[in-house]
Amino acid sequence: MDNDNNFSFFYFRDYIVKFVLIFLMLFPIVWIIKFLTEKIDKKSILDREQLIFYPKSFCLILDGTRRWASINNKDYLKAYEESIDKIFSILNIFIINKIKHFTLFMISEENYKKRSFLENDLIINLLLDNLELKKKWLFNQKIKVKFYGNFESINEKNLNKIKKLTEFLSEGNSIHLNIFLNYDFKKDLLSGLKSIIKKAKNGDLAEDLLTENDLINNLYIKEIPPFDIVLKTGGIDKINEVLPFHFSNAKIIFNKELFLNINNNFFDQILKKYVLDIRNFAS
Amino acid sequence: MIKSFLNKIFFNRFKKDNYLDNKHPKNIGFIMDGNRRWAEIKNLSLSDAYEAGGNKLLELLIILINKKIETVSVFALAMKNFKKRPKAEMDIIFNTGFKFIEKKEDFFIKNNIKIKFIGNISLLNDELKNKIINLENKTKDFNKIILNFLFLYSELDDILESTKKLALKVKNNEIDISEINEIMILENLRSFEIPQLDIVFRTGDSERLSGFLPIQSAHSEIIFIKKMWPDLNEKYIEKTIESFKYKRRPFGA
Repeated sequence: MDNDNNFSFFYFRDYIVKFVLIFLMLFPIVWIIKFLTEKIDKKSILDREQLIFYPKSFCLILDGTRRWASINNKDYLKAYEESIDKIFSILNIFIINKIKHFTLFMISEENYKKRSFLENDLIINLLLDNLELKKKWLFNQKIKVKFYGNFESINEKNLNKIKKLTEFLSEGNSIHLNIFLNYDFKKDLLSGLKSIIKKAKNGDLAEDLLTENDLINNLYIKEIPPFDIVLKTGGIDKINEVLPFHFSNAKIIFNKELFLNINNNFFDQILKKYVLDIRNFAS
Repeated sequence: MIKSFLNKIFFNRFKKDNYLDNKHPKNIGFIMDGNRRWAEIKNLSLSDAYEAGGNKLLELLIILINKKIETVSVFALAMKNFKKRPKAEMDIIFNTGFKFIEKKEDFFIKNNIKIKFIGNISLLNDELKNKIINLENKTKDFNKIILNFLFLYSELDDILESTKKLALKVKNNEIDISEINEIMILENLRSFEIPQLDIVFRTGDSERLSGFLPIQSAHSEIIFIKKMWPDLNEKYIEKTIESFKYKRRPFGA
């Protein structure tokens, strides 16, 4: 009987010891888990905060392709082809970084006027053919493609390609790829302004109560939000484009390198630096 | 050998002619940013900073006159800041700014400087409006250099004003909608008299244009300077203007 009692006491004591030991072991584990979850939580808050400051609208003004071709002793069309390939690799970076709008100034109005019809036609054709080749990839990546510009002088074949591509890639919602070819802001403004004035004349709008939003909402480029970052390559510190509402608060980066010489990591760096930058709109 | 030598000379010369248009800059823009931060760094009052900023502008004007610059457009106060900043700060800017200009009136007269204010001046009180009108009238015949103060200026407001003026003309049957063209839009801008700028400088370590004359600065050389406005080195500006005509300007993408 005594033995039995002793046994049960030891048996019970054993359980207590085990319980205490397990508790003591669990305590640091719980503490570690708690510490880690807090840290992860803090990190996610930081990420969320960073996301607010993350650029949503990126504008690239391509410059230096022809100079690159002449330096590297290559045909300029070949250089343009390489540029287009590079644009696709940049698109990949932007998809990862959740950029919503990627605006690309491919041919400026100034260059379009200066070059021959044939040369412009060749470059546009090259761009459209490359997009055509990769349209399934663009579709699968949910990329919406839209073209902006004055297409009056573009040949019918290319115009049809633009229409078909725009139609095929109109449903994408991951990133909007806005391609500017021979875009003239003044023409866009003129047509927007005329439609506002027409509304004012018909009594749909009071001309003295016109707001800045009325103006923006009547432009063809109204769907593109203001740029957060504008990158101009090629070493010439000029923008050469008039887009008053889009450029005004953008961080402007002039890069000395020709477009094809820019390392893709540079885009990652720009995005990271932008988040760290204190945005100062004061003038 | 002779052929290649001649080719080298002529080809290089041809290339150079394409790159260098030997253009002497005539119209300059300044985004005078960093006065507030300068005051904080130097532990000075805001009015001291604006006075230092004003003196910097006068120093620059002398250099620009010597460099035969025809117009200088300075971003004095953005509409955005006027709406965003507290009234007490705006009062400091107005008081310091106008007192400074009145104090230096002799400077403008002596140096033949024509002053213009461009922006939505109607938002100011009558006293300040009269000061502006008086100053513009006093200097209207001067021609050594034109100093454009962009005051209560916003690029959107500028275009909106042009739209309103044209809409009113259409309403009053002065013009037909079909007659409106790009030139008419530009002619009705508040900033219409400001020509295309050759160089735009922005101080204050911010790489943004903040809505500074977008139409006039589309083809300008844009230079961002890390220094705050009162710390700007005039020699740097002088050198940049001097080197402008020797800069390579290759065109084409």
